[in-house]
Amino acid sequence: MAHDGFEDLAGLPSADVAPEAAARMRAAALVRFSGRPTGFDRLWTDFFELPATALVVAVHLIWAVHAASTPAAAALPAFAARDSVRPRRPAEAGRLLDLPHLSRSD
Amino acid sequence: MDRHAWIDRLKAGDAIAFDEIFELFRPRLFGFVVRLCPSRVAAEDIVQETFVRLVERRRRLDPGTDLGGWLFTVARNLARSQGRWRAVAASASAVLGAAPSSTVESPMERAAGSEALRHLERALARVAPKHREVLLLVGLEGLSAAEAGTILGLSAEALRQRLSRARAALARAMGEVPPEGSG
Repeated sequence: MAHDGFEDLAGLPSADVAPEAAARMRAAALVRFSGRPTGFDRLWTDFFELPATALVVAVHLIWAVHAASTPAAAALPAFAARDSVRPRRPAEAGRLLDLPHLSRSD
Repeated sequence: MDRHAWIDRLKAGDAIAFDEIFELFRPRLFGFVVRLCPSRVAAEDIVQETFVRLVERRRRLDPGTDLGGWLFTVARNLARSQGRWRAVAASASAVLGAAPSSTVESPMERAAGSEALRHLERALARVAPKHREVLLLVGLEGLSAAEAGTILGLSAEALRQRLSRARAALARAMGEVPPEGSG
């Protein structure tokens, strides 16, 4: 035997699990073959392999890019947005709509 | 047995490819792991988890992956994780006055046939895990320095130094451990 034992390591007895343990290990691994992917793989597969999901993602991306490049709110005058929702008195509404009978009611 | 096609076949769900890999690497992985953790049951769990991860992560493996290196890396990392957990458990058992598990003869020690090999197994069990794993990968598995370095996450120079220290540690342990029957 060599002095430090290193050369003799290759002669150590081979080791293996008992047949029933090997069968259990094999079954535990193979069940992952037959079933659906799990964890991150499942998420990855479901998300990118389904055409409907890909379509929804594409539509949302297009919408997001369009919305970001079109400043719709900034294009409207501030008073227009404010006046369009303010409640009107009947007389004011009559003047705006050129309805004299309502204008006189004030 | 076309090793180069293993990963493609695994990705395709080929159970025969898995069986070929399982039969080739199971004894090698177990022989490595069982010498890193004193419990045979724990070693079996680690080997099982290694193969489960192979199946679960097969889609993300690059076709050029060194499958043996990948399996040894996963098994080694699992053994290290369990080793840290066992260290916590051992410190707790020491507080409770329980006997440390390292005093128990390992399964590999019992299995070693000759007295000289039993002596070597006992000495190997006394070497620090970071030295033991490099001794096992290079001395027992016969891996090259580059392969062992990849598994252990070491550069070629760092591996050479660790192997040198590991051989020295094994030599010391061989001297410290009395041969069987000597008293």
